[in-house]
Amino acid sequence: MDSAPTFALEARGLCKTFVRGRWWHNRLRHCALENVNLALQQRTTLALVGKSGCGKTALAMCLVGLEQPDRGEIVLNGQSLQTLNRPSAIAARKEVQLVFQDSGSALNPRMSAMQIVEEPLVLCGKYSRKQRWDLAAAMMERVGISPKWSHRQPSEFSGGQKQRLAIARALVLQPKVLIMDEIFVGLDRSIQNQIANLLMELQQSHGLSYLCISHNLGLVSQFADRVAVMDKGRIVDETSSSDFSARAQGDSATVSTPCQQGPSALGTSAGA
Amino acid sequence: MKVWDANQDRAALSNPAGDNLLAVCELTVNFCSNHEPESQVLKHVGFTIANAEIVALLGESGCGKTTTALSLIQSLPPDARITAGSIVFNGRSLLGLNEARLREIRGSEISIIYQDADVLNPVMRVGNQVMEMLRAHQSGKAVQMREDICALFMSLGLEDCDRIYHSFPHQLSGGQRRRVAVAQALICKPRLIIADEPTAWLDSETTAEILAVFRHLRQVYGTAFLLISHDPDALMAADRVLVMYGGEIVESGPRREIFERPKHPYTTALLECSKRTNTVTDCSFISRRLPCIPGHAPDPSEVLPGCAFSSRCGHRMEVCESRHPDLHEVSQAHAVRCFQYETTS
Amino acid sequence: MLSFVFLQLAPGDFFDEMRLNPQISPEAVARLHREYGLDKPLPVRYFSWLKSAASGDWGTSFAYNAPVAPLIWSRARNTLLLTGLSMLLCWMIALPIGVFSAGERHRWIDHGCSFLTSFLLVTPDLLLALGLLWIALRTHWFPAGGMFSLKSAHAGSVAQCRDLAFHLIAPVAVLVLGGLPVLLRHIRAAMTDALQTPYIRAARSHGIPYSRLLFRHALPAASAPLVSLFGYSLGSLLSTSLLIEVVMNWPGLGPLLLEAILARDVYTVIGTVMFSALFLAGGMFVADVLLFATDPRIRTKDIG
Repeated sequence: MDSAPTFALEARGLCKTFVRGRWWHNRLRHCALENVNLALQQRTTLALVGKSGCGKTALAMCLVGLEQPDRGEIVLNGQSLQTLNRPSAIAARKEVQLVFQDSGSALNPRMSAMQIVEEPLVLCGKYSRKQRWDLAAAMMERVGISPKWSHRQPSEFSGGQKQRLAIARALVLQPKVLIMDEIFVGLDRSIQNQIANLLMELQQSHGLSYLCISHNLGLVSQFADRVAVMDKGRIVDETSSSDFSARAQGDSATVSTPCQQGPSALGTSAGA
Repeated sequence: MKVWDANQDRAALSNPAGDNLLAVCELTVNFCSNHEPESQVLKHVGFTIANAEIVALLGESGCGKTTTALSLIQSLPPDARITAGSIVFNGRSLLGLNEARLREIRGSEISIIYQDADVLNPVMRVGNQVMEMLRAHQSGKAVQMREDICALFMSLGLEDCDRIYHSFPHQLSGGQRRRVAVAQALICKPRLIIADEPTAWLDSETTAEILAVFRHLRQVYGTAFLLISHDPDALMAADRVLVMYGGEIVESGPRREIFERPKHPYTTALLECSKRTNTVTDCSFISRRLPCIPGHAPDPSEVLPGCAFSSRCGHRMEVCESRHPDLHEVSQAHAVRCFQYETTS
Repeated sequence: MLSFVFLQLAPGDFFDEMRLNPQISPEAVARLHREYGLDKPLPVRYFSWLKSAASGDWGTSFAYNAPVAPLIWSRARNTLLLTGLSMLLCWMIALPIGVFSAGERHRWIDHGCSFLTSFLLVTPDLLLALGLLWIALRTHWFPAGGMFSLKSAHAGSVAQCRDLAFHLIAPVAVLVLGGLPVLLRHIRAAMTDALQTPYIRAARSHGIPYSRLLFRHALPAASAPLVSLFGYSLGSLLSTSLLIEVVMNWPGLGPLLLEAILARDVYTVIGTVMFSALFLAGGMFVADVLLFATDPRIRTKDIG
């Protein structure tokens, strides 16, 4: 057996069906994930792209433990989560953290920035007050939020700064894997790039692996190492991001200027 | 089913060619909240939009783009007010009109498509919400109105019109809701449509369909557009681009000229950030660093004596910090607010 | 159950006064005790009452010497007339005022409403009732209490209705004035929230006429808390007017309950309390059903 597993996070044969409707009424069965196999290598970034409704968020929820898959296995650092007992599974799950889209509404508006970043440490219960403060302040500094602003509430921060706070909160427990669900939406290009740069630095310094869910093909092809394409609950393709961009005629003209060429040109974009 | 096409008369298409549909001059908007001193969010903004012209407003968040849009329809929030300037639409000044007259203009002559994700009333069926627009601004039989709405839905890519007409917003997907919001703005065929971040929250297919409808409107009805975005790629359909920074226009000109030969340092930096060329050919960390503009956007309450961009500008000169630059034309219809070009006017 | 227990815990029972009367022998009192089952232990009494209540027999009132259920029902009808009418009037007045004052925030109508609601909130209902009674006695514009005047018993039905209406003026006025501030504040708060939502701002900038915007667009969106409040008001129809009925001598459940408590008329008290509780639960259920019917977000799950 290797000393370090090759894959930071692996999903094998994941299946998940959501049922809607009441017990006396017709029930709609919506198959969100169908036999999904995904592997995230250590210290790399895997982008997950696809049209809205294809199951990307459902997959993220299953990987992080917010939803239980109906079938399949999740392997974290070589250890299958299904084989662990509940306390060990909870401890193992700390290794995977999720950053949501629109962190403006994901951050508690009544807590200060420091309280938000400290919260996972408080829930963990292992740290003293001083230790928590030091760890949280160090992480805030690392993401570019000055500890002088630690008493401010989320409403006093800009969109990009709120996203950084969410990232700091996710990283304070020193996870190995970070899943990011559409975190670049709603931000200016310059801010998107700043956050992408920050994430790449953190990957170098902390040895993190990222699963980045996005529909912004241009940004992910620059930021990610590999790209997986999802459609209707299945992974339909997985390549390196340079191949992906080349296949999608990856120059910025086609990906991001739809108006000049009309709808037909966009048939080549991922997910179609 | 009725097709929504060119065979409908537009009595209001009477503005003589050459006159501007909209002329904004020296518009200044102040923002006064209880806890902070008054701040100028828009500083002497002036531009024109001609019939059937697509003008784009480009700038990062907080630069005053949305404030400009809201002041055109006089829907500013209560703590903002217009302190100077004029807005002339179709030969008529919009400032000083009473509320009843403004209500007639909103929706039927000037329409705005918001960037908010939820602009649909959650307890009203979406078809009725679009019908409310028609009822407010036009008279006619309900059956006829319903047919018009269905035809518009079809052209926006909302098939299965009957089901969508009777659905509530939470029963539709995000893309469908956005299209319904666009339908609400277009149904009365206004002269000017303001689209605030039209491509945000959408995937590329939906964006393309909506932009196709915009082009159709411009071609057939001569509708003018004001597209607002922070993303240059969303503004490729525009004829002219106005770049805004710190509440004022810093560069304006034809779109090709601005995108290919930008003059103002901010425009250059913004376009650089937006390039999405593939750089992941080698894995070394340094080459993967993405360009971004250092520093942060200016605070409207700070009153700086010099150029608002000087603290973040790579071409900063001494004069930039002491004097405020004016807008100068550098070539045909291309104007820049920068001291680098002042001597070449 | 709690009211049963508390009533028994209070010292004394119905027959204490009889015991004080030297003419009635202790054996007669003891016999009455056994007849009415008051000598059995508490749990036994409670369960036997539950059993009979389930089958429709709610016991016998000691004071009136009549079955409890019809007694309660005849009084409840009067209470419902009073409270039903005042609730209807309250909502009819509060709704338009609340909606418009939310729309015209910081204008004169809003300030006027705030002043009125604050004034009414701090004034106790009792004071309002006494004030109206004083006006009635001084001016004779409307009767000061009671439900019917003596002479109306022989008059025709139209005259009787007219008489009833006059007698309703004072108690209904007190109940409406007492309930108005709370309702106004809720409506105004719900409408203010609704008017600040993105969709109402968008509708305003689309040129929807003002009153249509308020009533057709904003009010339905604001109605969820108001529907719950309406259901709760329905449920408390029997209980809100207790004090007013006693003060104004309206023959409703209030005076009945008060007399029964003072006289330790056990089954009447229990019966009244249970009837009110059932009504309250029914009102909550109606509120839930109404909410289900009016809010499409609850009733239809998203499919898209």
